[in-house]
Amino acid sequence: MDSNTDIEDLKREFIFTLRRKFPRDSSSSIAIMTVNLIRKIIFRENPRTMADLQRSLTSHCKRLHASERSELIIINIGLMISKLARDEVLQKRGGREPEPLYSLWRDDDETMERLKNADMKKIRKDLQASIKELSTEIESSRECIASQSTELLFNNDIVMVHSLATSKTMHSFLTHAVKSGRKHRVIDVVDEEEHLETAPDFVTPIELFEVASRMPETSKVVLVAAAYFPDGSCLVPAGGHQIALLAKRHCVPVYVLAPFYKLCPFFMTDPASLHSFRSNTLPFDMSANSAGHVDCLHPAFDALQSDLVTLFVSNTSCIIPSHVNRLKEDYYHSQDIADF
Amino acid sequence: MTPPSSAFKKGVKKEEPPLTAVVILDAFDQRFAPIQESYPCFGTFPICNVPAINFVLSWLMRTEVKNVMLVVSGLNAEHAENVKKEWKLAFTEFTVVACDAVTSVGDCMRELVNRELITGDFMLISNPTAVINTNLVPQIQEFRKRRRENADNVMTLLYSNRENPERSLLGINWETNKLMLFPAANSLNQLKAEKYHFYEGVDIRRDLTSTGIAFCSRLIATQFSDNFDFTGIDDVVREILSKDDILGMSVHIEVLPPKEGAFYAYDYESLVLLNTLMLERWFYPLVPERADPTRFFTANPRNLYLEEDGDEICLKANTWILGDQCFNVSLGTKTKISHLAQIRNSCIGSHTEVSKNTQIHQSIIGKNCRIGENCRIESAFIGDDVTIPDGTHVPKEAIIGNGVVFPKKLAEIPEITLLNAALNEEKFEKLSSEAREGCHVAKFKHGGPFWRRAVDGKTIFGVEEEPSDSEGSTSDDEDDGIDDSTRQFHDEVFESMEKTLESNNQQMRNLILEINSSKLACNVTVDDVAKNVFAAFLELPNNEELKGTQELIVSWRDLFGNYYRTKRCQIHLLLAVEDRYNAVEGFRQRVPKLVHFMYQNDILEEEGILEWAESIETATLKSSMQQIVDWLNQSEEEEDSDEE
Repeated sequence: MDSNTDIEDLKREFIFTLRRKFPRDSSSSIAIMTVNLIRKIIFRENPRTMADLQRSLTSHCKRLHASERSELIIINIGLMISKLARDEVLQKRGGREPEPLYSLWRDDDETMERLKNADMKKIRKDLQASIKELSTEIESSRECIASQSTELLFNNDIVMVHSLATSKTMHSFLTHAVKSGRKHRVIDVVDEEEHLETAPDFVTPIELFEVASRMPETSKVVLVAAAYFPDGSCLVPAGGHQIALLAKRHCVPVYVLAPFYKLCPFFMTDPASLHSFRSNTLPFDMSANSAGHVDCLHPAFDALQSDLVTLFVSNTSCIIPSHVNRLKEDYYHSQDIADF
Repeated sequence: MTPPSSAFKKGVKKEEPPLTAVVILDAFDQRFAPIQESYPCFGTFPICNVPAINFVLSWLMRTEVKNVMLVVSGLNAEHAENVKKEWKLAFTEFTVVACDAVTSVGDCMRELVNRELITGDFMLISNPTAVINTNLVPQIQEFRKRRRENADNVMTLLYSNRENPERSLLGINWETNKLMLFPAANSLNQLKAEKYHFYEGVDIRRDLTSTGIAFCSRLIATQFSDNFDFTGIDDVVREILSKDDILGMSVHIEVLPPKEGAFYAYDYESLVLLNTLMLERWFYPLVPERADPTRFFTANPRNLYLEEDGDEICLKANTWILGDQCFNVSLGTKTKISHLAQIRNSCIGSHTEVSKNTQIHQSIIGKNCRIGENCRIESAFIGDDVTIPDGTHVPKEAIIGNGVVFPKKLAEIPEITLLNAALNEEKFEKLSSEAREGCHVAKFKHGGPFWRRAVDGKTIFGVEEEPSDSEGSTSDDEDDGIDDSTRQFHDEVFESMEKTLESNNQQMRNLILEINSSKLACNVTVDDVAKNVFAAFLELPNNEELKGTQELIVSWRDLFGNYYRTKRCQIHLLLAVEDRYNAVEGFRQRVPKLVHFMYQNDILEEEGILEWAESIETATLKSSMQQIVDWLNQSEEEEDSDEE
């Protein structure tokens, strides 16, 4: 089969897999799916130089993201792999280890030249290996985050969490703490009444309107990030903003669980542009009379400013919001970001 | 809105293979002839600028369905292949079935049965605009449970919980969800209920909307092939209900929970409504930006959707440029919309320009159109490359075909249908068109509106369906006390007979079938059938003379053999004769001879004649029949004496 149509088919299948799942798959499995897709694309396209690779990755990721607007992960993974390829090229050519501190600026001319002419065939194997490493890192990130729960949750803590039902990472974070013998209480803020009954045993489910009254007794708030940005702000499932504001009012620390693949390297000047809208939640029989007059604002995410977040719990460590910019350098190359 | 997690855990049991989906890609309705040029295939009709079929496949992808059969008429096979190219990866098996010369859903089903493509239970999506926002797990389970309990529970129709615009009715048993009453094709908002229905717990429901989705067993498909006059699934439902005691099958109704929506479009009005509902995200996760696998849409507040060119995607959404008077709008790529235009509940195709101070409400507008300043467009369908000059008020419920430059002089005519070229009247024999002001104005020959489907069934026409009524006569005779549907039945039978008479080989089999289908459609009793078939027969031009009648009776013997076996039917035949006797003077002296002739040809039996003769009220007729009555009595006595 022609390699081009083959790639189109791969991408389409990826989109179908994403859309078929409702509710959405966990973000770590989407991340792994993306890694596999890009690995296959690189393997099939077989780009000759680094510049080719970068260009093709950019265009594929842009298009994939445009069909699934709420999945910033697709862009993140594309840029990460691009950075991996860059590193491989530089190492192969006997260059110095890339120095993240200096890479805030663009590469010097020498490196640029080297990247341009580098023969990608030679590094192909190494690139495949490092892509595999990336996917293992994604797989293990949930465990890594969960294991940090012992450092953050203590006996007699009262922890308020949000979106426990949809986040597996949050679930394992809490269960890990319970297993390691922490005696804390968990209050779960649920979005819909039906979740009140399905909540796991170790939590007390409450609804969003009760948050204000329960906040004074709370000692920690744990949220899940949908994406976080270099300026220390982040997107959390809708409802999180209210919780975080109340937490600030009562001086309760807010931890945000943020696996590295959710770190989006762009400064989002307008977080509203990322709001992806969800359903119209009115009962369907109302459509008989109200069709044409309905505008149901039901955003999927809230944007949290950096001052509302105490710590991001990433898979490697806990970081304060102002350090996220530094973390960005570990995973992305400034050149890629600038060219995107 | 998340369905309960339990809905996802219960997998399909191994012994039950997943349902196959049968999607019909065409709408066989001449109503859509004016837009045939832009959208030859109904499945490609744009809802929010996304071809409708993409929505169907999007929700099918989330259900258990793995095999999809896309059925399409031969002319549109190319479109189906395109759809297949885009979607085949989403399903394990994706087949396009192109059937030549099909004119209804029924024809498609017959073709499927002939090719032996239907091997088990299937989900029939008889309209390519059917949308739904669930994965149907509980509904399919319920269908399977019913099938296991009783193999005769052959079909489950899916309805959504919403008052329907046509106010059609259903009678459902509230305990078992069994369908008990279904409206006749000629009056969707009337039901004939008997007293006992209410004792048996039948709910009459007006608050349900059909979804165009049905779970069927294989038997339903064979129903279509057994009755080759059936055009749609409704005919099968009527057949099953009317022959409840013979077939022993039952149809069930599954109503979706209140939060779950489903809808389908069958005329322009419902298309515009579907477009609005889709823009307002009633069917989430089925939303415009996630339905097309190859194009890119952004969703913005106020339900504004913008299609992006694949080569110019930017990460951050473009700042929206529409004025704040606009909401519920879907725009194609590279549209030029003035900031001062007011657009609501509409869908506008790519490269279209809308100038300032123009109002567009509840409309669907195609590609490359030019709409001038100060126009008003409300509830209209506009095709591609149309020009609307400055200051035009497009009449409500107008349909404007491709390439038309709207002539201002026609703006006064309500519900106008304008085309660039004359209609091919041979292909669409229900329609006519006339040239006016450089355009062609299309009409239904019998005068119904294009925009809206009529609930009395009079404006539903398949592309080649036979003429089914003559509206003039129906409205003239309304006060003669005869039931409308009976009257309609009579007219239909008469037309069928005329046609048979004209044809060279007078096939009784076909005539009987046509009469039977008219009987089902009009929902008339056996007595009325007997009476009206003969009444229609007598009105035939051949029957001006007794001789002609006698010849025809002999050659149409099969017909009479079919309908007049019992005494009761024979009496109704004679009642028709009596009516004719009273109405037509020239007929009178022929009556005794006619009756005698039919007696001799074994169409009538003496018991029937005698009983009828007893009941005659008209004195002249009674006296003229006396001779035959005497003769019959005499021969009877003779027979009796012979036996002694």
